[in-house]
Amino acid sequence: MKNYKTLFDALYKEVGKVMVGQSELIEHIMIAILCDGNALLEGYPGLAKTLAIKTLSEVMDLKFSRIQNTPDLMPSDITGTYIIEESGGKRNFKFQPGPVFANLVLADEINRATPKTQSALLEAMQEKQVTAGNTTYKLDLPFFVLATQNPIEQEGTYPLPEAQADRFLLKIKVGYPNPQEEISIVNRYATEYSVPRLKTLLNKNHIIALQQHTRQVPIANDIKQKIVRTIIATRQNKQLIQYGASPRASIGLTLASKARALMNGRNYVSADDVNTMAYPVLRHRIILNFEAERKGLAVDDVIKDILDKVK
Amino acid sequence: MKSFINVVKEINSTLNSIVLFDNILNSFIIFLSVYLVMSIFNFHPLLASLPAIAYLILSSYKEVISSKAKLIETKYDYLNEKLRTAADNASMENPVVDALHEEVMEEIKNVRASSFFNQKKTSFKILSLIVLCFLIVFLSTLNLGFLDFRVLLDNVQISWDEGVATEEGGETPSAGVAGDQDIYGEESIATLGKEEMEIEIRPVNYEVNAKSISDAPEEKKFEETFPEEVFASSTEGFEENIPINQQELVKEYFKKLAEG
Repeated sequence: MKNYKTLFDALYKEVGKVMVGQSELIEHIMIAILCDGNALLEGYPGLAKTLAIKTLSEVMDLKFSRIQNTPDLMPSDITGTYIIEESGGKRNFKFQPGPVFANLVLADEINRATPKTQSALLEAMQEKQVTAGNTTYKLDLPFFVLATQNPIEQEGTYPLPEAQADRFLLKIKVGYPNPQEEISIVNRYATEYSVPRLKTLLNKNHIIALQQHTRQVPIANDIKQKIVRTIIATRQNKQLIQYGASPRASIGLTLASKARALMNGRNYVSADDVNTMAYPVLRHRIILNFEAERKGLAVDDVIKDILDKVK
Repeated sequence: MKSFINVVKEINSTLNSIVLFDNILNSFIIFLSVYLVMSIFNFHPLLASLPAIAYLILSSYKEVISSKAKLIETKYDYLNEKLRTAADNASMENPVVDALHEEVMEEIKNVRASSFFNQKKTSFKILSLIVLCFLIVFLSTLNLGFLDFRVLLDNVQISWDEGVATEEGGETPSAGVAGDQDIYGEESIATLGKEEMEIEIRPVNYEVNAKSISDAPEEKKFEETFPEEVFASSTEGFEENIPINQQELVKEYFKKLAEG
């Protein structure tokens, strides 16, 4: 298990050649990948969300594609479409795969796409396949969607419905770097800068194997019970929460805790894993009620309150 | 992973025996403490076994079903969460779990059973048991009794019975005491009144006078050597049917006959 820690430490170091700080962002993206899940990144523009994903795809030797969502984006722009191809004097329809046919898809500003286009992407996330016409095309595994959304400029956007947001394993909040990190960013990118060559540390097969190992990480019964009690508590806390998390959140929290344990070189899940991963797992699955908003509580405050109460 | 299952079984049996020993000691302390109190207040001392047995059963049950892995984790920090995860997944087999089992089996070698046996605490408990035993023996020689709860209970019972009897007296109100009880109570008690009664219980003489010890006298055998003419016959009493007015006359007749 210590080999896993060495591996991920090397990965962080390699990503660190390009990125300054944002270690939590990298860790949580890796957790989503190990859980074979998808992640929703929320943060202000200019926080290296796209850079992080692109760098990770390079280090992991994954095919990367980017979709810039706009209100006029059509589902076929994502999934692909049939085009007429002329060969040997004959014209045939040929399927032209869309950007979704990649291993790591960055759906930038997903809340700017129309619900119809969002649904097409979310279907690909869930089923790992795309249907065009009468034909179903399997997506290349491993397949991850990392969608970003901007907490500001909500006008003209289509916020993800709760049912669709639930399909993302994690909602990762991308914060500002601290002053020291910001000075390093300025030093690195505001001077003569040469793009560093990144080493490939993982490949598709490694990632699939790591995903299997993640599911094999054992978990103690009392920690499993704590996870379930936490999720149930979100449904029972009617004073602050309008809608709580579904059993999908229990599965997600268990898997995410296992992935974190594996990345830290442990072959068992600790209560600390659960407490840390509860925030990104539950953040987009809880809808606060008016009382919570009146008190000025954020979702993270309510999650902390629940974690404190559930022992 | 049979070897790990065996390790878990061994851990459980070792810790259960330690815990059981501690519970038995505690039960004895409870028994003797309650015994002491019961004997002072003249209750039946064997009633003290009830709380002791109840404690032994409840505490042992609670300890036996509790997770032994957590108990070890509290003493050995490096096994925290690891041991209980391994124990909970003892029957699971996959590369990650196998690696965990091997790691735990290696680390558990440093766990000593003696670390769960508090020598100071156990010595104190044994000392308490000895002190309690001596206290019980010492107090029994003093025949100390502060309050006789049995008498108190009997009085309560009597007054309760009287209350019940009064209530059961019928719908018609009547004066006096129900049943055949004398309204003045026991005659002997009434006569005694408030006078103090001196009762001396003669102590049993255990002294043996060595001088008075002698051989037992020979038993005289009883011989039935009656003459042949002596024999026993049944007697019969007759009651003559003499009228009462003539009885005096008959009496006078025999009197004169005797004088004459």
